[in-house]
Amino acid sequence: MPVTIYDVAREAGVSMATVSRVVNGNPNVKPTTRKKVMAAIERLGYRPNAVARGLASKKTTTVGVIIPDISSLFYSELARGIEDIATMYKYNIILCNSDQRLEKELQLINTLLEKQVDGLLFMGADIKEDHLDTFSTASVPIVLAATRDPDSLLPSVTINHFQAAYDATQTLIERGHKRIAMIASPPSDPLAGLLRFEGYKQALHDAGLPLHDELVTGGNYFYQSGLNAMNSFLQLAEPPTAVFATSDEMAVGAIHAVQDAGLRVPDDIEVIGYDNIRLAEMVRPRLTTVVQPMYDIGAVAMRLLTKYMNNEHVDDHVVQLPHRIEFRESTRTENV
Amino acid sequence: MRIGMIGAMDEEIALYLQEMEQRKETVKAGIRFYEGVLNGKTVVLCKSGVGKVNAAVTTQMLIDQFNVEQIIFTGVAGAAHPDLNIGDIVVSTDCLQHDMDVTALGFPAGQIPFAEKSVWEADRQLIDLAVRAGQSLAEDVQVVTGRVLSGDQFIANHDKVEQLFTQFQAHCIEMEGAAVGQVCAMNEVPFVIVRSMSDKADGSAHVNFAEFTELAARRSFAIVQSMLQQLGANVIVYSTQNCVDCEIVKKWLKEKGVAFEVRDVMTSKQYQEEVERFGFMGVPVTVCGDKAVKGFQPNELEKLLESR
Repeated sequence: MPVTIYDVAREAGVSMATVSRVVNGNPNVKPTTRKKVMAAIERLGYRPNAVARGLASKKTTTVGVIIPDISSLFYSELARGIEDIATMYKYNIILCNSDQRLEKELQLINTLLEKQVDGLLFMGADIKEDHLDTFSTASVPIVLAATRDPDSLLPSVTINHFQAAYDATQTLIERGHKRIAMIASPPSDPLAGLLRFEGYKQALHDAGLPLHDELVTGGNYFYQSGLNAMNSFLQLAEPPTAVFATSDEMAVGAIHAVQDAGLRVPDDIEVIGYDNIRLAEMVRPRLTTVVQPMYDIGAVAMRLLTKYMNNEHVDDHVVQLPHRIEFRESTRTENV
Repeated sequence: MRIGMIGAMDEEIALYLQEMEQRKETVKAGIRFYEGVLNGKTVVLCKSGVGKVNAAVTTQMLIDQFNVEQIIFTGVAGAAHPDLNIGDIVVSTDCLQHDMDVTALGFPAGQIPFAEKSVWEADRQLIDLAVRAGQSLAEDVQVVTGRVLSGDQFIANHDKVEQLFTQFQAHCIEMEGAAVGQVCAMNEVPFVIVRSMSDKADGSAHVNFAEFTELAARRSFAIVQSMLQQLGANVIVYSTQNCVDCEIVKKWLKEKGVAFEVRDVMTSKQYQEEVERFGFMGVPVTVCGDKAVKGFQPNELEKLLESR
């Protein structure tokens, strides 16, 4: 039989309400009484029942976190940021991997809400109508991390993808490139896809460079699509001299395609990737890439969520964090 | 950050006392210490008295009794380097005792027997601050860095000055610096010696010594004030242990030779609140005075440091 609050009350010779006050850190208890109760708790090995407490307070101090894949370094760093800030604000997290499959994502959202989490943090490439429909049934706050819904209705923490793509493209323009190719994200991905493409377009426009349709190809973030895209660029009568890929895997695919064709990176063609996953350090030449502050995205998202959970005032529900470009060897060292 | 300041001249101490707020006086071992706030910094001011023993005792007390974390010594000295003129300022790169003489037992001149070190290097950051502060005076004097020699004797003999210059590559000669330097080094407290030249290596001195003392005291005071302002702009990095970008920011600052304080927001709710006062959530946030930079943005950080 587990030890209950009744047992502690009897052992300490106080009321159940007093034990409850001690356990919940209520200051309205005399120090001597508190000491007596604590001694009884220790003697009996009493452990407060979190479920019962949750029923009474309607709070579970638990936050649901849905991420695509914890084994990806990109998300593990983010999860660490979430967990650290959760700990600081005395929340526990339930972490779930969605594998970025819509069905699993929706099921996890529902399951976590049923488990009465106090808030939900969601990460995934793409926020669809289905997500928004499910989110709208929730009575607890939801914050998106490293992603955003198309109309920015939900609180979110991201980097400015438009500006990041703009900066990457501008970096290549400043190195004197006139024909800069983009291996873009799938057009179905509004945040990563469209915004980054717009950033690329704007950078070209601001530099007075024309946008060549044949220099933009949609990829699917994976290695093979980068390789294929670069191979088709190399078939052009006038191939690009620089490439901006919207994922590191695609950038590495592009580098390999260049090398397979007997050309060199960065001497013949310069390449910039996106995300700064571990792979960026593992290839030769090492990849120059756009870096998102993953830990901080997680930390800020969690902090934002605590504000909503505590009904604190929030100035801006869409938070954008600074990005940067990590220069490695897939771009030339000049002008850096 | 508590800063210890040792002045050599009454005129100089008087200037500090005028400006110091919340002054508290303590006498220990016959030496008068003034705690207070100058340019927004907590400082402990004192006059050491002449010679190495006085300087050593004063320095150790500043460290033990008054918990200072850095020490700045100002005063006058005789120039040893022939290029130096009266009024020029020497900021110590290092210092040593020229009268430590156990040559009879085969030890080189200036070397302390059975000790690992005899030359005491001043703190890089304090040197830079002092030089910048000296240059910002925009007066018609040179501000140079060089070696300071100390000995318990007033060297009036020009041949002796010349000999010390060639023997130790000395810039100037005085009677306290090396003692301050040694005690600081023994306690791992950063220090710097700033000296105004009262006479030239060729023996010529300012025609009016009283007038000169006042001028030198004013300059020292201006330099220290400007150093305090710079020291005031402490760089603080708000971070957590697991945050990758925080590490990148710290590494970047270290490579720049910038001293900074780390505040782990996980260890204190107060730190988290401090960060959020700047309108930021999360880490890293680098703060200098009333300005802050979010994340690792080298260009923005560069600007932040320039604002110091």
